Amino acid sequence: MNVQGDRLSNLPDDLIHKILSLVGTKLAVQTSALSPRWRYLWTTLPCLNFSRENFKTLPKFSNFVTHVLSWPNNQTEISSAKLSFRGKASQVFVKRILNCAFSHNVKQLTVSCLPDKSEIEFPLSLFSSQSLEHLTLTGFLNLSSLLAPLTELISYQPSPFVKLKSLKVYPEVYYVKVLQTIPAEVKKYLLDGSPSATFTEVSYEEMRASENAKSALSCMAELGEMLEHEKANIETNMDRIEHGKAKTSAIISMLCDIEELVTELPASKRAQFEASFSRTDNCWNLLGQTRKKESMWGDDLGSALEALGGSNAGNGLIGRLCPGVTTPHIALATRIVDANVRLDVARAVAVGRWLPVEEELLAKPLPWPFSEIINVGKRSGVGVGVMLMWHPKNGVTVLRHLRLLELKPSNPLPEFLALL
Amino acid sequence: MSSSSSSKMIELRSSDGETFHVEETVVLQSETIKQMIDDDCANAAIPLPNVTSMTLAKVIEYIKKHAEKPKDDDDKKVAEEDLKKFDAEFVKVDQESMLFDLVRAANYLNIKSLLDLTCQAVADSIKDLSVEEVRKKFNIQNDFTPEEEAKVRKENAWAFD
Repeated sequence: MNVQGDRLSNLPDDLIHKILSLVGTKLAVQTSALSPRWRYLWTTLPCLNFSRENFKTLPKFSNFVTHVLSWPNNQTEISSAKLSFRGKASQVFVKRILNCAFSHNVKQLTVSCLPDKSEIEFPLSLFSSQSLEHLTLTGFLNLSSLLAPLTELISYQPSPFVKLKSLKVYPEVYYVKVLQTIPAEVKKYLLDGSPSATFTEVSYEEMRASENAKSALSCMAELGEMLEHEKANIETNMDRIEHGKAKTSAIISMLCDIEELVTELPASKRAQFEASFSRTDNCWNLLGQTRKKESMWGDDLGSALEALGGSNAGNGLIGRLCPGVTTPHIALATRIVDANVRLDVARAVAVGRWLPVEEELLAKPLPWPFSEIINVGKRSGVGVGVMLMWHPKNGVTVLRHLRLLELKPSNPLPEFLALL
Repeated sequence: MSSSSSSKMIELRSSDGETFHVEETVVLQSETIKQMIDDDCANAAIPLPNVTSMTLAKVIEYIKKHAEKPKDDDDKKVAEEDLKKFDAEFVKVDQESMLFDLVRAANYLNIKSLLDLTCQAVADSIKDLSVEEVRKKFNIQNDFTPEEEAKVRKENAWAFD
């Protein structure tokens, strides 16, 4: 064995197992072809992780499951099993996996099921376990069908689990909104034997809020990159622009004046805020100077700025910018475009007034920087720029529309723009 | 136990003889060291014959960061975000061998969160690769004869679909 070169093969089995559990069972089995060291490593994997996504067809997936499950010997404990699939839960592999997991004293079981139209009958009630500690169920449309086909009988059965420490139930957020909570009898049945178990049921709204916050964060990162990119573009074009626009130097000195006017953020917040957005500040400044629609990273930004330029002040803007916006379709994602950029395009503001859906989102503890931004915005009371994420009929589609939602009359922006 | 500001210092000695002084409250994240302290074996420098000074310095950087306590709830959110960023950066090591050193050190010192983090980083680096790519990336010597390898692939053909 190449001791020098191969740090991976040299890890002890349990660490390789840990890593293989994280890559999914399919690749784990494939590693058997790496070298003799790897040939049988997967057969003693204590964590199974089956995902339908890794296979082109359902029969291939089912075949894979059958083969994998014919391997674990009875000495091996299966500490955790994950199954992610779509379609009917009455499919034979579902039962097989559960069977194998429970007969190998599984401690942690996670099942994610993407719903389809058919009723999902999840055969959980066919099993009982002395070992199961954590049960997580995601995406079931019909939680009472978890226990099918014995739903009517469960009130007469003892709870199948005696060691459960946690039961978590997550709704599916991407497809349809399901206003359903776990039926009391199902909950009772699952938890009755384990008095110390914790129960977590995440509501559709919470799931969505946290998904949105996640998407928003990634949008922000993306926006930052886009702006960075645009900044680089603009910088290379700067010479041309300066020649083309006689007013540029006047604009810049005006920008400086305005910067002073708008630097009234509470000092305690400013440092933090500025540090976080300094790179976009800079970009925005440059973007504002060019006002060149074609050089913008998107028509939306261009038209937003155009719209701003044509508007005198305040609230009329919204109607012009977002005529088609209807509240239930929008999730606030967010971004303060800028606190103290010279353009002052945007300051945070509570947008809840016309986006009640978002008010609820705003009320939740959002991960920084959202809550910071919102606070700063409320205090400084100027404008806000947000990115909207639209939810057309089916879930989350993220559009990076940058809209300028509100400007207060105190905002010096209109006067400034008038000078442009 | 003394307060965090005047926490007892623990001395750790790496395999190459370098000593590190770390606050006890910080070092307790290592179950292995915690056990030694509980067993009263930490009066002199604790020898860590499996961990080099370079790796130990990284580990200490990690546990120090993870020992920071947010002051209030607002701070907590900021701290959580901050910690996530730190973790993401932490596993971006220049040399792959450092990642494996960290996996081993985390395992030996029994620091669960660090072990999870580093194993996840290894897993992330291979999960989208083919067997050949994994072999190449980690310089894994293929000790199979071509016939043997073909046999294994045939046997497990259902996993290569």
